[in-house]
Amino acid sequence: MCYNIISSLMGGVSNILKILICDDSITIRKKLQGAINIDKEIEFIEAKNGQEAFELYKEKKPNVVFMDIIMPEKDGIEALTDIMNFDSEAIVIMLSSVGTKKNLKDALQSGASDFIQKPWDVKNLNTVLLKYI
Amino acid sequence: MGCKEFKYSSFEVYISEVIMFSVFFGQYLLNEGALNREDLNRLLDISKKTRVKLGVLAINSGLMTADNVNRVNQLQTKIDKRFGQISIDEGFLTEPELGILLSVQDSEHLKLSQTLIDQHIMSYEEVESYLKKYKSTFSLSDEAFEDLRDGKARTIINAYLNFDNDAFSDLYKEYITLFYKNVVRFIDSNIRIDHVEIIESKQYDYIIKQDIIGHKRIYTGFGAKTETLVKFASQYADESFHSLDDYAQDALGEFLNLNNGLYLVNLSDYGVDMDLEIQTIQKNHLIESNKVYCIPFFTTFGRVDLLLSLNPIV
Repeated sequence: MCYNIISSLMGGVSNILKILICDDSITIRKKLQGAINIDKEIEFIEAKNGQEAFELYKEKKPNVVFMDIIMPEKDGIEALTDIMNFDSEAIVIMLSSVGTKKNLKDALQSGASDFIQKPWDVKNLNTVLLKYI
Repeated sequence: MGCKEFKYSSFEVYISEVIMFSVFFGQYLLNEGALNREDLNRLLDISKKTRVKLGVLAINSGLMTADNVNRVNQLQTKIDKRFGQISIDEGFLTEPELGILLSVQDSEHLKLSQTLIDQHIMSYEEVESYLKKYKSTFSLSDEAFEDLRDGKARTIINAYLNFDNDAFSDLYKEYITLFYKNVVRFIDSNIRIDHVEIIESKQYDYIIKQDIIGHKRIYTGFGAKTETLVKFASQYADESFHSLDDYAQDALGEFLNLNNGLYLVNLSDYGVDMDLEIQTIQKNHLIESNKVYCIPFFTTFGRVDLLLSLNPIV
């Protein structure tokens, strides 16, 4: 498993926003952390596939999940389903380059809160995130 | 939290950009008293099925005046030639300008203007006048620039790429146009492409591949020398790579994945649903395949070959 704590953990944990980023691409995981710019202390947790994401969700209970769709081992829709079955209140924002009607429908039916098409617009990305925190 | 409102954020923005001009221009005409609300709603409805003609495109771009367009329309009643050809013959347009106009003919944002003329609500002169007033009131320079860039990409691709009447040439051109735009946007704004080649055997330091799967299988990829790909990856990831380590290779794969994902979204809009396989990267790869299209992209840091085929790229 792979997770990084980017922000300082010196302070109290309770006020830190936990964001789980699940994408098989390290490029996307790093770029996304750089793009998120909100006035909150953030702990980023990284997962490389859907299975890791589900395990980390149970362990870390993040406030928000950004989830890719096409990934090895367990894809984003399967991981979304697992997470929603575990926690029906979970906030999962799909973040995919493949925003086809089929993927949108699958994500909606599986309980996704939102869908952002890659490449993201930074302003839009942060606006969407702020809606859920 | 209960039931959640689902919104497709980026796509909403895209759709609103496409129809924005017609809606805003319509609102402007309403404010100017040129139309009433009932007429505007009716015209916007009709405009969804309207095909924008060259005359309106030429006026909008500033390449022709309403007088020029009227002159060409008059000549068309006497001469059996297309609007574009007569415009060239009369010296109103050059061939490259015509190419640019044809490439943006599917512009959604001019449909209201075309509908106003088709429905005899306004003359070309009146549309021209209102467009000028509208553009001076609201800055449209960015949008005009975007249109030109879109047109430029497609025009270059149409001019350079001869697929010898391949039945799937439109599919390839759509793909190459998208790849071109993404290279300009993320990698290098000073690129040029050259004529398409058909290759059966070629050696690359590295090749990045991804298959698009569905009722057809489209094999896509790009290959180049190591040093070129190091710079390509650095640009995309916004990092300074010195070798093609795992992170740099990931960036190359992710660029192809991003491009192909957007291509699938475009296909989805036409009702064609396809999927992507996981991308792969291979070192010291010798392509030995049947009929792979190779489109050379010359970046400022070296040549990158875009590879496309309906046959496996192996």
